[in-house]
Amino acid sequence: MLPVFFYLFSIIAIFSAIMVITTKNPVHSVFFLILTFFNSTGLFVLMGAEFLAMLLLVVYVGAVAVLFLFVIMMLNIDFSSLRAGMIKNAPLGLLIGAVLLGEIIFSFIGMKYGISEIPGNELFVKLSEIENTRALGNVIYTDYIYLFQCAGLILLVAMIGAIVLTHRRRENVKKQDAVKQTLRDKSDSIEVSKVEIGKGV
Amino acid sequence: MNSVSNISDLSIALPEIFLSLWLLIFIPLGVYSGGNKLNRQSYFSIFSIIGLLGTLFFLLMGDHRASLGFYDLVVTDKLIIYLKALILFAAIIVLIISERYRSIENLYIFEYPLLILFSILGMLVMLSSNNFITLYLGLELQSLALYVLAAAKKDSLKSSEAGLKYFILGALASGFFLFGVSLLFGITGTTSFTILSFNYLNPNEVSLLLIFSIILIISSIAFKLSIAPFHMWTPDVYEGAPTSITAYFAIVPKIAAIGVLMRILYIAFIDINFIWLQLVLVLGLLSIFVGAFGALLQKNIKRLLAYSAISNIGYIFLALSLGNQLGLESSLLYITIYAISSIGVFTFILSMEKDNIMLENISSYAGLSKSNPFYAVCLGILLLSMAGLPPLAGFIAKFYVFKAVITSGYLLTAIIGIIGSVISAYYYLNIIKVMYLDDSDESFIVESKVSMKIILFTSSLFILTFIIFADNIINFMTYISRAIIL
Amino acid sequence: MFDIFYNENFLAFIFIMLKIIGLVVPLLVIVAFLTYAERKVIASVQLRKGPNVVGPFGLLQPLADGLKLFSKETIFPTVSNKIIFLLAPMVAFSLSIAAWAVIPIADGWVISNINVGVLYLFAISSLSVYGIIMAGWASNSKYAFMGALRSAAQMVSYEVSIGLVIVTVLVCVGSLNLSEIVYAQKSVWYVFPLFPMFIVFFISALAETNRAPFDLPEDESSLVGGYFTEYSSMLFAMFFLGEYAAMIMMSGMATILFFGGWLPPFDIAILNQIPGFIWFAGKTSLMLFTFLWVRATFPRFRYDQLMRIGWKVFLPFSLLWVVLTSGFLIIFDLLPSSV
Repeated sequence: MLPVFFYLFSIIAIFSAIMVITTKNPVHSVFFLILTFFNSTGLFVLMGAEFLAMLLLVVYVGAVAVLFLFVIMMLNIDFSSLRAGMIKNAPLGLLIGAVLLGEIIFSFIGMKYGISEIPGNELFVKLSEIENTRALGNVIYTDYIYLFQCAGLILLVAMIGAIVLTHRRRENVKKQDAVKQTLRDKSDSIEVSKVEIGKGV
Repeated sequence: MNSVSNISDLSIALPEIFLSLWLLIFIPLGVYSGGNKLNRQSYFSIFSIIGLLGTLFFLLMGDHRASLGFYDLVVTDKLIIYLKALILFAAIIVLIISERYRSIENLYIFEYPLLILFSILGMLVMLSSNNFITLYLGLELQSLALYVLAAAKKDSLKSSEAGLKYFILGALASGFFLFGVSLLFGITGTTSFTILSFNYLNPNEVSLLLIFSIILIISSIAFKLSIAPFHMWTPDVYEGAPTSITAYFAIVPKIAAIGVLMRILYIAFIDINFIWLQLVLVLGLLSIFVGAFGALLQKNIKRLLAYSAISNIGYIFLALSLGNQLGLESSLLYITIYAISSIGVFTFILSMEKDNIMLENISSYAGLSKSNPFYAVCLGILLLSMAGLPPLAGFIAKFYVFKAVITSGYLLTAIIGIIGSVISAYYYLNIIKVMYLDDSDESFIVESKVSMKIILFTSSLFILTFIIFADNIINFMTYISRAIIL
Repeated sequence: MFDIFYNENFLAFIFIMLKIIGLVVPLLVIVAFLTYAERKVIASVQLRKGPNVVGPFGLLQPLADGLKLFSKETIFPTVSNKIIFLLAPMVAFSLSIAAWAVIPIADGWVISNINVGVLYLFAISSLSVYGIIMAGWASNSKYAFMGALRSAAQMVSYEVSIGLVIVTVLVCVGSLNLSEIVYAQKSVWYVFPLFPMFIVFFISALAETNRAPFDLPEDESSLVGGYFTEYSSMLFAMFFLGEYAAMIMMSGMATILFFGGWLPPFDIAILNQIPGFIWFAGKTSLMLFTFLWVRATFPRFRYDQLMRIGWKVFLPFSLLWVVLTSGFLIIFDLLPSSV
């Protein structure tokens, strides 16, 4: 049963990864990217890393890709001009791709012929023994609490930085002040005045 | 099951914990009290200075003995405490001297001191890291804050360019760092400095991959220190960033990165020092010359100081490349004196303002000796010291570096270094020439805050009279540098 | 070659398929009658009669509507992006059905009892924004696009507070498994200790499913029909079904997180005799009724008000509650024991 799903997910993942870089329409590229993420999620589940799988779905597909899509849909860039450099840059891209592919192949060969003794193997928790959400929680909040907090601070800085660089205070913007609205009273907003007939206010 | 941490763990990171709590108070305070109104600004500077003083207090009151904590992710010893104190001290001074500049350039946002505090926090984390992961997180925390600060002047094209340039190249350097660390982890199975220093790196079995990973790690730190040939961003960023931020860039992050480099080289990779000795040496010599020649034709004082920083850090690399105690203590001495004289020089630059326009061209300092003799004399002393004229502090720092190099048996290296130092003396002396010998069409009187005058005066006095208490300070450097050499 | 049909895996596969059909078919029927219920409830609130012509009490109305939509022609706008236009309603519909895979409707009555059930639900509900964005973009129409943008921003914003509400419940339970969340409520339903969180969850659920008073994406007075302006016939019906299925899903989620799922209110013999799925269905129906009730009662929010509530009220408030709840649990040593 398992290999069928493995091949299903990986073939679709590879196919859609290729489509990401070959489709003409950038919005289609993003949709294919989402499909790639989705299938990698499937692969994660097959490996038994269900927590990471769901996280990938929530973070990348649910948030990051939505942002991509927003930007690409709204920007309306002339993508054909961006594509003009394709032929020029293709050899470099192919070269980098070939190097990466070579590295992967070599690492597989290495795994087959004895270099599999990777030190530090004892660090990996056996996934079957403990639910992996729990396993992650156990180390993140104890052994690595210092790093976890540091990472949190980095995200905070990133947020503050984005606000500092993009937030502009504009004049004459009317804003709703909910507290002020609800605290408004009949006495300070309505005035009853007796109007004499035929004279007006 | 493991407990979260015990009390001694918390006491190791007490300064960091205090500073991050202070920051968490700072943010809502800034947002809800109308933090970007003009009249509130000095309160926020004072608030952040108090925070830094508190951090300094916890740092100095804490335990000074060498110890590990947080599952060996964090380390502290005398050297780290000294460098942290130096960083906090320098940051406080920089915050004080940038007050006036911020009012002139309309940089009145409360996020400015906030981000400076964040970057300080990052540096503290970096300095007390005993693991490449901790180091990386500290580095990113510091760098992210600095990228934003470089682009803080939103309406200036140059500032935005500086921020973007710094960000892209910095991200690339972080990538190098991570690549190097992941290779190292692949080879040894650990990222902890102490574990690496024990027995995981066998000098007899050095693989090509290990050399590659060490080169990647060192070059990414060299990027943060703007060491040649990774210095390309420095002049542009220094010129484009707001001057007060440039002052901060030139002084504070350098101390942190040097401290980290000491820890990586002298603890993690000490057993295999034959790999990095020559690398660091070549980088050092190259930077001395790039800094010396690059500065010769600069018209803008900020660009000139960028090159000056490159060559000064080059001397520290030269000292570090010795791989022994002498190198360590002379580089400590050098970074201390560099920090203090840079504070002086930048105080001077931040005071130079005419009709609410900052003067950044060297030619605009012409005739300063007549119009503002106090400033001219102070800057003269500082520049003569940087040029390496005896008996000023800069001379003593350079002297110790070269003495260490020669006693370690690298006479040729010392001679090449001295030649570089002589070349760089030219542009320092050129500024003095402009101030004292050139005539200017229009003279102006510098009106500056008393606090800035005091800082300028104190730093030049320190540089001038350093030789009197030099022995004590050098003994102190020897004492703290023993923390790292076993 | 035909061995495959006789081995165990194949039987298991057939069994799973039957379970799925057993869940989806009643679900679709319920969805159909939910539309009827909606019209009846709103009619009652507004003192009208509602549908009462087709069949007894108008009960066959949904069937008639379905037939009508089914027999109409599917119209593709000429400038639309055909494939994505076609794909969008399918994505929206299948995602809202897919979420049901992990929901336990009674003790052990669940298609897939996975350890990260809550996260799965959260992930699926965050994905449902794609159906809408795809529809809005592929229609190549201003109204549809504006509707899609509004909807995407709204769903992304309210997901944050939903996430924090879920975290609060998880801190009390100590597991991400939905069945265990239900078991943990054996003594007390979480709606009582975490009542404010339930309110936040309910309001966020309204926004997440684009229901009134947060139905700005399909705000007919300003956007015609929102993201499905250009849709007709079965494609439209799929959006419609998807929306109602998502509503039921959200109600089911509220039932599991706060109302003890299939558990009876009191642990006594008579109540325990009633099968679990009836409790579950009853509680879910009550939640659904509230959805409809809110729609009949409240006027629509303005968009900036919607965003302000999401980011400036719910987010800090739910964050505060996460901290308070965990602090409380730590102080009184009530944290669920860890393995």
